[in-house]
Amino acid sequence: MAYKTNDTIIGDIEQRGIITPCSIEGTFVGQRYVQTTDATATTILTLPITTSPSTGLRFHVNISAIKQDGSSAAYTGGFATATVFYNGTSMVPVNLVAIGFTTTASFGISAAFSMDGNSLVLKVTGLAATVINWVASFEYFTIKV
Amino acid sequence: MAYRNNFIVIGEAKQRGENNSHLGSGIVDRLSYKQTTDATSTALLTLPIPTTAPSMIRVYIMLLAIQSDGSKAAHNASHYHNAAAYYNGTTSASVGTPPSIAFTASTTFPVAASWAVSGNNLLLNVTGISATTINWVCYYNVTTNQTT
Repeated sequence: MAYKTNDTIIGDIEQRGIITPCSIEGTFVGQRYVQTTDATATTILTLPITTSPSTGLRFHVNISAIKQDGSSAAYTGGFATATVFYNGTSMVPVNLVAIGFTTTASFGISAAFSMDGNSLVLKVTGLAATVINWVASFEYFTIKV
Repeated sequence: MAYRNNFIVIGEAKQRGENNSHLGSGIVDRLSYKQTTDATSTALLTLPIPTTAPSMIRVYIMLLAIQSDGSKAAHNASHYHNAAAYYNGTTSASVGTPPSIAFTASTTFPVAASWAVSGNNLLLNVTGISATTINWVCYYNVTTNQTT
């Protein structure tokens, strides 16, 4: 066991999990950024999922968004989670939570989970003719039998 | 990506974000402690909001209060309590209405906590009980959305 003080890690973190009869592949922590300039749904994160039978993934994200001019901001005030598993044939969503935002007045942005093949995808949708900076801070873990 | 096996960080753990023209943030996990001895509102957390350009911070907390004689304890009732504040280029404010903080207590234990924005800081204020020593601990996780 190593002890560190004020550790700064560049990039994503993997905290290895415990050893069990199945494989719990640790907790992953990371962050992604995207800038939108219109109302097109834009991918901020694509997370490929191992296509081994009986693989499950639990994902949680916090999203913050602020207009480039500072006039409006928003964040995910509640749980924004997704759970998926691979059934041996395809990736199946157990639950892709509808993502809600707490916002300053009149800031009609959105974000949503979706599946693309065997990847979990998180997309954000901004506003027409508006520059918005988005940050998604996430954590997830997987289990594989 | 670096792999480590079961490491412990004493103090602050910061996972820095991607290196690009916008993001200078990362994820900060920390603990904060304060002791109250009366019913005065006291800042348990003071989180600076970046003011180099329009920016925001979001914080998630788990709050625990325990009376020093061990007779009572309470925690924030919400399983997932978030708050956020932003700087618009001139001043700072809460993003939306600051969420109220309810407590679940072992027995009658009327402690309180609330969010506020003061200057360019997001504050978590706690209020104890008159003539009672209470130890407060807050786990918090902060992310920043900051133009560099």
